[in-house]
Amino acid sequence: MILQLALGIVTAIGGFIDVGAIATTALAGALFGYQLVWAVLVGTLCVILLTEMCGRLAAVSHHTLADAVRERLGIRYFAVPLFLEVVVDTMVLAAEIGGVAIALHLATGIDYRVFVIPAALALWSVLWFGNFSVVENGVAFLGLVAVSFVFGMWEMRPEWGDVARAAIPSLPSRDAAQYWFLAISIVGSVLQPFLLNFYASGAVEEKWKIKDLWMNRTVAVFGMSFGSLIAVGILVLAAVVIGPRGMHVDSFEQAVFTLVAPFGEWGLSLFVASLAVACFGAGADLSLNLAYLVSQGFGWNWSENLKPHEDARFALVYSFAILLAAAVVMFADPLKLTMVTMALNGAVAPFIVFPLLIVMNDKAYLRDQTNGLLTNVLTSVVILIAFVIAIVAIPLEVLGG
Amino acid sequence: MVDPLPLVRDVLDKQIYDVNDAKVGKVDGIVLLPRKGRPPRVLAIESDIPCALGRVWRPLRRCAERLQEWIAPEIAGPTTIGFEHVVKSGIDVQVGIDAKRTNAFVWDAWLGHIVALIPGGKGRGEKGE
Amino acid sequence: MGGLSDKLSRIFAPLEDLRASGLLGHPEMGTQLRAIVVLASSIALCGCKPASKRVDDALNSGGSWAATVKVVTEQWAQSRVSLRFVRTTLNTATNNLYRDAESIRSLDPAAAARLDRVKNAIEPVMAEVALNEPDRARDAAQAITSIIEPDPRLRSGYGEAGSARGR
Repeated sequence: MILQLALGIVTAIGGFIDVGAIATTALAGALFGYQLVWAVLVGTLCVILLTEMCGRLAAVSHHTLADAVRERLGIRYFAVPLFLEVVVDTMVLAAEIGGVAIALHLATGIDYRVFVIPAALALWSVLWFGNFSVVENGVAFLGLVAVSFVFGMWEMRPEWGDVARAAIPSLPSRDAAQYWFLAISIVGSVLQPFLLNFYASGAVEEKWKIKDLWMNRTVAVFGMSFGSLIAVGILVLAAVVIGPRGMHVDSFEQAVFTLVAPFGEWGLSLFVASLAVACFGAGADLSLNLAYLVSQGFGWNWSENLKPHEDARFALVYSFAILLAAAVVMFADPLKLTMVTMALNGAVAPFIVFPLLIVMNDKAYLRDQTNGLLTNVLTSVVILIAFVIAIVAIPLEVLGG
Repeated sequence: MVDPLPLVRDVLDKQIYDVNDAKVGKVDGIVLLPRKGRPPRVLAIESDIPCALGRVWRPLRRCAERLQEWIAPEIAGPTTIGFEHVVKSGIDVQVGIDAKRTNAFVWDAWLGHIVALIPGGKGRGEKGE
Repeated sequence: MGGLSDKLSRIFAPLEDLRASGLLGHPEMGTQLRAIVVLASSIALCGCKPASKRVDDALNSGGSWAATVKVVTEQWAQSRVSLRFVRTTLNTATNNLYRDAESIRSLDPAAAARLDRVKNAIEPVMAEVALNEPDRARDAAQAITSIIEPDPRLRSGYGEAGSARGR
């Protein structure tokens, strides 16, 4: 049981960081110092609350979020978040495949486009031949290399008092549009809509029951918290290393210095490994989530543990998604694509989070594990934040992106 | 006295499971038989993507039907299960028949032939066995 | 929109009544489609920034790349990064400077010319890199930041947040 819990926490840590988290926090640290630490914390608190609810839904009802939204609100409502999430997830998947290709470009100097097809093929192979445990735990363990950002932050010895004070939201003294655009992008990179249904689907894959609710809470709280520590580490390192030297993060070559400064000649290798594995893991999660979403929405047979022949439609959805995403990233700059999609994540979030509030109060699904008053109030606050983000994300993209 | 069954709340859009607990699809539609001077009779539940898409926007139904007919005309068509086979409803719908006797899995079987051509796609059971 | 506010005002009605009444099913697909078209148009608009902002962004990016070239050669001279990474970074810097200059040439030729000078100033650095001369490459890179200053907001922005005792 301890091993299972540890695996769950490791999975959450390893899966927290992806190309979006690295790009947005590095850029935020370079431009605004520690000021946007609060955005990471806000995103983390939201994702802890929402993933705990999704895990609880899956453990008690053995239904995922997509199942419950279709069943409770009908196909006419479900079509909207389904369409939006499929579009945004495919774009984010393209960014993640691009992230893997960029990591290989940093290591070899060869144009990243050369690595897009091999990266996509490797991703597809892991899903096609591997089962859920291999995809989640295997990749998540490798993703722990991203903890080097936390050690790097410690090594650089920032003014901890200043970092702590940045946990409180503050107004920018300049470039307000860019500041708020980055704040939204950071929240969007942490609170990615795909994470919610993926977490619930994983709980169903692993056959969680009511007795596993304590594990759900522990994984949600500790896994996401440790994961957010890595994101804060990247931001602080960028604030200490990149900004004062007059650099932005227009390209991942500049972000490399976050780990070169504390680790010297090991820094490049650690950054490449962190970026490659984080993006690969996130890509696997996104591909699977697209297949989960469509299969659950239409009631098809689905499980990553089944051989592809047994759930052909499920397997072909993720295969096609990877193919499409690879095609997108051949023509789009991965870093720019990342920044756009992180803001779009924020715009799509209310369509996913709002129905979750309705479902979590439905005794037919949750029996005696429905939300309490406090949880409902907090979720309503998250929905409000999500709606505000949805309204301002696109204008800020134009003005500050 | 039989309790009334709220069709929209407890049947429509729910996951269908058969006697073997296999996922059959969602209840995308309910087939009613109108009767003169009497309430309509519930004939069957239907699982059909064009039907589901048509409830979102009518033109999508025709597009989906044409696409299915173009891909595999011999298997295109809804899965219809007589309402008399519905044994339980609520958050799921349980039917008292083996769905293999219906056309519920024809698309998975048809696509399964394509998947089987790809290395690693064949076989039954769980991966890692 | 009147129909939408009706739906929102009944948001806490018992769910089965809400569904049975058809309210959740009533948004015409046309309305949903319009929302998606607006969203898609907004996404497309993201590519259209005011001209002055595009020039400023390009110049700030140029300053950032000038600083990056300086930093990467310094790090190379201290054996903290590999020769291959230096070449990769210089190539990326050159490509980005070229792209930024082209993007603003019609808007502000003088600004584009400054970016061209920065790009050209990287060539002697690349020559020293090709000869595997870290110290000379570092010295050649020092001149680049005199052509275009790194973004002055970065230093003041960092100063607001605090400082580090690290390297």
